[in-house]
Amino acid sequence: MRLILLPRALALLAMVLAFSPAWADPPKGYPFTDFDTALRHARADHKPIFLYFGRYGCAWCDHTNRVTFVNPDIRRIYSDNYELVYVDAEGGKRLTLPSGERITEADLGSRLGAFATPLFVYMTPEGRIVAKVPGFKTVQDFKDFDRYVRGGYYKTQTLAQFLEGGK
Amino acid sequence: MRQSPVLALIFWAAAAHAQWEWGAPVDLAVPRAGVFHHVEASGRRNVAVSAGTVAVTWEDNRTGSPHCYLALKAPDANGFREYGFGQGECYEPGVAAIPGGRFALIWEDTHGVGAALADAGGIGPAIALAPRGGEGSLAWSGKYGLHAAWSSPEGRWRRVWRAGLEIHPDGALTVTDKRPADAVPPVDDQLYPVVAATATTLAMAWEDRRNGHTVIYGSASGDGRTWTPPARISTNRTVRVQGVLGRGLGAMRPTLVPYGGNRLAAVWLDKRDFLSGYDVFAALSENGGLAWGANVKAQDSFGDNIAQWHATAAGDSRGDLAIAWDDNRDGTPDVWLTWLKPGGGFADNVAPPPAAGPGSQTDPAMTMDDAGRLYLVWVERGADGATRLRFAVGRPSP
Repeated sequence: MRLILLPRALALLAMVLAFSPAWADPPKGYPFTDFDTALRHARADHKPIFLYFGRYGCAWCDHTNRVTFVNPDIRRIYSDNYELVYVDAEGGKRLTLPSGERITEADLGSRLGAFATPLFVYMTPEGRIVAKVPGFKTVQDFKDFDRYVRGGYYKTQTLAQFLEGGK
Repeated sequence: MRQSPVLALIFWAAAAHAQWEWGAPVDLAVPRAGVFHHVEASGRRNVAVSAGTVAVTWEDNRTGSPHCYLALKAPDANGFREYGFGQGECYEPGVAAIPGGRFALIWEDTHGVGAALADAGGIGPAIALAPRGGEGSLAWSGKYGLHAAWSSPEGRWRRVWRAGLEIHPDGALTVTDKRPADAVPPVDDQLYPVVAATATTLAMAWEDRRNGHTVIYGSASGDGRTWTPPARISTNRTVRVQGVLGRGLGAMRPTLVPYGGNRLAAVWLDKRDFLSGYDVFAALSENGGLAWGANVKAQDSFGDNIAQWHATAAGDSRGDLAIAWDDNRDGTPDVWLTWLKPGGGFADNVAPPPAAGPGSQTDPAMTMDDAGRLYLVWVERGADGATRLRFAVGRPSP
């Protein structure tokens, strides 16, 4: 009996997930994880961190997901080379900062000085912030930010200087 | 606010702003490197006053993991006396005043949502309101007794619950009439509830995601038994047009505060001006939350272009209403304050001198006694990142 019902239950679950209103959650097809897991993996694997600070119902997050994050190059570059973190700007989940302080997702916004979503934050494997980029960004923007971070340019110049300098 | 220490002292001594004169701040817990204090009960209900005794709750990691603490200061005492509570890791402890110098506590720990009574003799036996959940809030009503609200996971979502708490002569608590705030099963998260009592009503507010974005919902009871169907308090618009991106702007972390008779204020952080972070919004009710007036921005225009955080409110039986939050309009984060003017509308913002200046002063929580005194708690953070938990009393200016 259980074996007969299982496919139906799975199909029902798939329908619920497919049609549930996941407004401006992280983009599909990316291995986003929680803050603490990402920091732990980043230190172990020496990978930079890409933090997507989004908000439930956020139009520009939705737009970025549909226009930019569907790009296969961006999916490959960011999935392969970064520890990906999604933080709900109004969420209450707990996370631990590199200092050892435990705060909530929403409080991370006040620490980051966030004033709009989406906000994209690039961090070293140790959790040091090297760039903060608010608002909708194109595929080319994300490719440029990736070269700034993984190319190590953040060690000698700001992101604005890097972008003005012809990349 | 960036200012020199000398200037700060001169300003502080002379300034007592139009509304409150502030006493010197004190530390509530011993500051120590690597120890972080958090004042974050749902509705920011971390301070209460009963019969002159002050109660403050917070969480810190002095033992290596998060634990909950209560500090009590009797009217004739020189300082606070501290008590620990909760089992295992403990978060978001809240407090409510009960007559006679007693208090009720609510918290989240490894056993779920807990509650207990406390007085100068210590903390009474704990009861479990729910096996999982948190974001608890309490309110005492002279007419309907003690009530609690919290959120618990239910399937995919979190759901808001309320219950009456009966106080027995031996100080024990028992749960009565435990029910969801909305009888209809949730279709998305319900979060951060707060409960309040006016002269003749009980009222609740919470963050609700049923519309695809966060909206402040509320419900109220005029008889202590039947509650109005959940309805919007915040009027941040929901977009329902097919193909339009996003469902709406956000509203979060509501608090409710009675301020005399059946007057009730709802205060929250609101993202409807989406380019400049959250703003502090309020709605007022003349009938204890059964109906709400228009949404109004509580901060003044000097705070319009920057983000506000951690909004809280306090009121008294004389009709005084104060709202506090933190923002960095003067360069570094300070606590800011406004109040309801006698003719209506909110006053120009002031930074209470003890909670402003170099470094960071954030996360205010406050209460007001019936003489209009403001009891303010906040977190101070120095350049090294270490925190201090600070407390000061503001007395109404003559």
